[in-house]
This record gives sequence, structure tokens and C-alpha cells, in this order.
Amino acid sequence: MFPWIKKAVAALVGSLWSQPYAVCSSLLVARRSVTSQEWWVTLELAKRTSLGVLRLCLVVVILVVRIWTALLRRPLRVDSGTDVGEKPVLETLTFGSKDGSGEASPGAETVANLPCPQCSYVSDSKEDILAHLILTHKFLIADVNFVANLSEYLSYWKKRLEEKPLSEFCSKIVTNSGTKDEAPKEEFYLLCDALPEDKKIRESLQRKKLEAVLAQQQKEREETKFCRQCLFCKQTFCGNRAVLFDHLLRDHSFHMGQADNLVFTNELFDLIQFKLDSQLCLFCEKSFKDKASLREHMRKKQHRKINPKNKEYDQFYIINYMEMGKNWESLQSEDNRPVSNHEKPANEEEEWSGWTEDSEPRVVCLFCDFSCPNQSDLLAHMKEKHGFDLQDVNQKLQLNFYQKVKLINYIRRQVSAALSGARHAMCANTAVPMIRGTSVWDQPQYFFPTYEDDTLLCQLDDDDEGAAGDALGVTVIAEEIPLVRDSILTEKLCRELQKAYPIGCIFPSQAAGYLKPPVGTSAATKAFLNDTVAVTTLSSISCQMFSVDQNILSMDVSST
Amino acid sequence: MADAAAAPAGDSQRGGFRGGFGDRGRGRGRGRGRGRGRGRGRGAKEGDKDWVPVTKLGRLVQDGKIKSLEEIYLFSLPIKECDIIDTFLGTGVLKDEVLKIMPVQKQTRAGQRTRFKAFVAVGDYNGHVGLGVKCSKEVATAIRGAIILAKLSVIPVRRGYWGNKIGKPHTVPCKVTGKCGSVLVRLIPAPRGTGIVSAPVPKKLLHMAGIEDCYTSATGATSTLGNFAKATYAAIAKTYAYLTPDLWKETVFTKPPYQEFTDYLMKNHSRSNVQRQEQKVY
Repeated sequence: MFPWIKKAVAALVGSLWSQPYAVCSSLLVARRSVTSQEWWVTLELAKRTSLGVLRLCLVVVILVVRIWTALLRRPLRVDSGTDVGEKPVLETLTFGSKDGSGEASPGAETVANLPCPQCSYVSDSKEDILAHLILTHKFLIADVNFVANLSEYLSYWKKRLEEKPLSEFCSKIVTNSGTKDEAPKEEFYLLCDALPEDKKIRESLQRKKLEAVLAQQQKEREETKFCRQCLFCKQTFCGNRAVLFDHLLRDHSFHMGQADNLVFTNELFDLIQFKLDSQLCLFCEKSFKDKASLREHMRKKQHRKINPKNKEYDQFYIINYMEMGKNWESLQSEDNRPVSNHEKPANEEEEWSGWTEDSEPRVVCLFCDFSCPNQSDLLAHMKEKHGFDLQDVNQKLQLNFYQKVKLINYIRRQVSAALSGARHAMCANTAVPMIRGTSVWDQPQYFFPTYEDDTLLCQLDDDDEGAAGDALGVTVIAEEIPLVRDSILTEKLCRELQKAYPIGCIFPSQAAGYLKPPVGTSAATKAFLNDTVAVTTLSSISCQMFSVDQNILSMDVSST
Repeated sequence: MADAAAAPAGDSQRGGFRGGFGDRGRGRGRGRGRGRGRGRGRGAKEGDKDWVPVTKLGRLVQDGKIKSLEEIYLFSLPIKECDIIDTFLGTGVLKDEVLKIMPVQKQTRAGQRTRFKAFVAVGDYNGHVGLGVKCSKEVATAIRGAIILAKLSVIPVRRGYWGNKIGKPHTVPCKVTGKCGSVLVRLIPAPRGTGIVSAPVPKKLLHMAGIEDCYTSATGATSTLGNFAKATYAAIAKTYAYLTPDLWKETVFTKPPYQEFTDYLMKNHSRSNVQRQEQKVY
């Protein structure tokens, strides 16, 4: 705003002695959107005033108006012509959107809040709780490192152990049970995934973790605010992480893998940066005196990769989250042949199904905050609570699709205005008599949805009233189909004409017999075509088709 | 195939690669995907020149005999090579978007086998859109395969004007319906400025197709988003199938490309040459 004002003031000062047109044009430069009406008014008034003072006043007035509107940042009110006293502010509203679950943290899982399944001891660290379990309760968890989310796992078992005794779930291990052992026998309880319930909970935790990681990756893939300096050179890359990966691969031959196989890329880059800063080679992990010798080493030995054996990098590759306990090495050597002899041919139905969303979009009531997943429940609610039967209204007034949309948008607009304290309140009691007067809500402004994510609009019944043309109720014109190829007749004609009439001749009006001027050519043009027709150009005959009617072709008359 | 041919060629260009290729198996899952060289902007040293067409249509496209994608659509010729689409809708024009990656499981001798299924939509935001699904062990491979399948399924979208014919077309030309599984999606024309009134998944698809304003009406189990997306795609495909009054005039038939260029194909790409070579190898 400020540079604009400076410009305008400069224009003003400089223009005290100049033409009014220059003033207006400099205003135009300063602020681009001068409406045509203002422009005209300014010009006319400026033309008529001969006194410099009057001119000055005029310009000042315009400036003041502009500054006022810019400061208040309000669009100039359009006269809507409704009988409502206050003009509606036509901004789109949204229902509160559910924000996604928090970001999955890389590396170590959240180890806070680890409850003991058997007593009320709670601990923060994994080793602590495991030690407590062994020492106090003689309770062992098999493959505890493979459990995706230890705190959830423990909470689940805590609940289950409250219901049933320990021996139902755990197998007993007796130590020192040999006859020669002198130490007393000890019994240990082992919880492992031989028990199907345990296996199920472990698998579901793993799946949840995988999905969280995939969601994180999707977020990273769509991120546009990624900004980072390259690890090896001084260039900075902004935009998507894929840009930096491309650069590393192409310009430095640094292979980290496809960006789509990686997750938590920021942390990965931080880790690599840290290693480079502490002068460690990424591949062989030897340390060097300074950056130059490190660079030489990496270049000579082609160590432009990260160490595959280092388990630190495992957390950044999605393939390691696929199944518990298996990292990429074991997965590669797996026997992937199917159990049965013949594999089911993957038909298309199967391919597309499977992607289901757990959270269904909810429809919100017109009058209150009630929301529910399906439309029929909502209609029942509105009938019951607010005495408003939407279906009944639609039927009685015989509304077509567009009118239904307008009605809903109108009601929503009024309700939101009521909520924000405007004069015009709408509740169900006043709704029905108001709606009878269709002119109130059957306005074109209610085509636009009041709420951006209004699910009710997406579930309106649309009986087959009419798909196109007059039955649709409104005029919708389809775009023209692009003409792809000339008719073979044209090409044949072109070739013949080129053969018969070389460049520079006027070909006789016999050729005009082939030609029919397109619909809409004036009489003069038609006459011209009949007499002399076209002169072949220096370059070639240009056969141009008019796309209005494919049957009619015409030659380009204009070329010089 | 073209991919395998490209990989060794790509090797020699990247000097630092050679050592790494020895332990390709231990490439921590990235070697496999990387070797192909092709991918979303990666290994972009190979270009159009490396495309060796294997279909007649591909050869005609590469030799520039076919001027636009619409000529192929006019004759409903099946497109089997995604490079054909790349030739007409160049590298920056067609944008792809990953709709979802989901893990799927299958029972094998070694236990459960998890793979990733990628759902990808491509579109140029101006009249062409495609959808693809692919399942693979790695996310990157799945995405790449899905993009190729999506490109092969690109269809033209007919749009229309609401009211008067000024500016660019912005909405569907008529009410169209598409169905997949139990989901039925109906697209209804809307005035300029309405935006796309629908659930998020079809909204993305319609936006990529170049439709700016549209009402939708969906029935059925819309929580199965795979079917929802496919139903929207089917509805968009129907826009060119609908016979509007301006198409009532008589069609002027033109020669299909195979007929028109049959001499050219015979001269330049005759099968006998190929067969002779094959025998040599044998």
C-alpha cells in the first residue's frame, strides 16, 4: 500500500501543471484496478475544469476515496436489491475441518507413559519398565523390540489382565528345573505371539504405525515449503523435497534412493549433514582431518552412498516399516511365492477396492450444530427438532435441482447471519412461510455455496429431470469439438490445385464451384468469391477450415 | 524392454555408479528402483530419443505423422505406450498427484507379504485426465507404475459454458453419471464462480480435468474412495459420449491413421526386417 501512496503523491505533485490525462494515467499506474466508470468520470470532469485548483480538488477526492477503501479493505458494496436492510457479506465460510493427527515422530517411539500391566507402576523409559516386569513380576515379553508401540501394547494387556488371570495368556517357563541344579526353581511368565490374540494386537499396532508413517510421507510429498541448502555445494533449493533429491542425484551422483521410498527426510538430511560436519565418510565411516580430505576420499573411492549396514538409517526407509522385525535385507531374501498353486488373476474390481476411509464426511444440520454421517438421519433430526421437513418442501414446491441448492444456501446464509448477530434472524418457524415466497431465495447469488465444505449439497437427490438442453432448465452450451483433421476432400483439392495452378496464378472461378462460403459471410464477400476468388500466395495455398460446419470448406481469402 | 535397455546406458553416463552396482542387491531397497533410471524427474538424462516404439501407433507418433492426441481419440485407437501421451502432453503439462498409498497383504509361503498400492491421478488441468493403480513392494516403484497406467488411461474432457459463451469453458456440458461398484456419481453444470461442490477426492479429479465449476451428487458407499474416484472418472469420460444438438449434423468421415499411413509404415517399419534380426539372434 505504501509504495502506491508514494507514487500517487508524486504523480499529484508533478501533475499540478500537467494535463488531466497524465494525472489519471499515473493513478492508473499507481493502482491498477481503476474501474472504467471512475476513469470516465475523472476524465470528463478533468476535461471540463479549466482551473488547476479544481483539478487538484478532484484528484484529491479520488485519492481519499481510494485510501479509505484500501485501508478498510472492504469491497465496494454492490446493491443487491434485496429487501434485507443489511447487505450480506459474500465471503465463504467453512465448517471446522478436522485436523489430522499429530506428526509421527521419527526414530524412537513415544516412550512416555508405560504402564505396568500388573500393578500401577508407570515408567517413562523402556528399560526401566522391562526391568520392573522381570524383577517384580517375573514377566517376560518376547521380541519386545519388535513391538511397534510399546505403551499401547502394555495398556492393552493391562486391560486384558484385569479381566482374566495371567496363566490364560502367558506360558510358564521354569528355570533350574534339572535334577542337578541347586538354585531354587523360578517361574517366569512369557508373553509371546504364539498366542493368537497377542499376534493380532502386534499386527494391528504395526499396521497403525505403517499408516502413520505413510501419512507422514504423503504430507512430505505434498509439501511446498521445503527449503534447504545442498549437502555438497552452496546452492539452496526450495519447493518440494524432490528438487533437492534430483539435484543430488544428477549433479553430485549421490544415491540415497528414490524420494518416494523415504520418510522423515528433514531428519535424514540433518543426520547426514551432522556426519559430514564431523568429517565422517558416509559409506565407510572413517573419520578425516578436514573437509577437503573427506571430499577427496569420497570422490576417489566413489563412496557417494550411505552405509547400508548402518542401522541408524533404517528408520528413514519405508520398506523397514512393512513388517515387524524384518528389515530390507530379510525382505529381499524372502520366498514370495504364493501359498496356493495358482494365483488369482488380479481383476480390476479387486484393484480399485480396498481404499476405504474410516472417517465419513458428516452432514451438518441447517439450523444447529448437529452433525451425522448420513443424510436420512439428518432429515429426521430436522423434522423432529426444528419442525422443518426439507423433503416435504422440495416436493410441495416442485423444486428442481438448482432450486434445491439455492434454498439450502439461502437458509445457511440466513442462519449464519443470525448467529453473527445481524438483524435478520432465521429459525425454522420463520423459515417455512418465508420459503413460500420463492423470489426471496431464488436469486442467482445463492448458486454459490455458503459453506465451502457443505456435504449436504453433495448428497441432494437429483431425479432424472433432464440432462441437457431445455430440460435442464438453464442454458448450458457445450464447447466445440476441436477439428482434428481436414476432410480428405480438402487435401485432395489442395493437392490438385497445387498441381494445376502453380504459385502466382489466379485460378478461375470454376474452382469457386467447389467452394461454398460459410454461413454468415456478407454478400459482398460472396460476390468477390464468385468472381475472382483467391490469388495463390507466395508461400502456398492455405487451406483453412472454418469449424462452424464441417461440410462446408472455404479457402483463406485474406492472405497477402 | 525399453527400461532394461535404458538402464545400462544410464550406467555409463553416471561415473560414480559403477562401484555401487556391484552390491546392487544390498542397495537397501533403493538400488532396485534406482537402476531403472526413469522416474519422476530422476535420471532425466535419458529423454525422448531413447523411446523405441513397439506399436504401430507409437511409430507414427514418433515420426510426427499424427499431429494431436485428438486424432487418436477420434478413432478410439487403444494407446499402449505411455510415451505417446508424453509426446503430446509434454513433460511440464501433465501433472500427477498421488491420491493414496496403502499397504495390502497377501498370504505366501513365508508368511504375510505386504505390498504398497499406489493410487495416482494425472491431468493437465485443461481437458485431459487419467487414473492409475499399481501394487509393488516399494513405494517408489508403485508410484511410478501407477503414473504409467494413469497416462495410458488419459481421456479427453468436454466442457461447456453456463448461460453465454464468453471466456473459456468452465463446467460440464450436461448432467453426466458414472458408476463403479456401488457408487454413483452425477456431475451437474454450475454457473461460473461456483467452484467444485463435492467431496475431496472427486474434487481433485475434476480440478485436474480442467472443470472449474460443477455440482456433484453421489450415492452409494462413498467411503470406498477407490470406487468413488473411478466413478467420477467414468462420469467425466461420458462428457464426450453425450450427443448434444450441435453434433447432429452429418459426420464427414476421414481416413484412420493406419489406413492413411499404411504405405509409410510398410516402407519404413516393415516386419520382415525385424523378423530377420530375430532369426539372427536365434
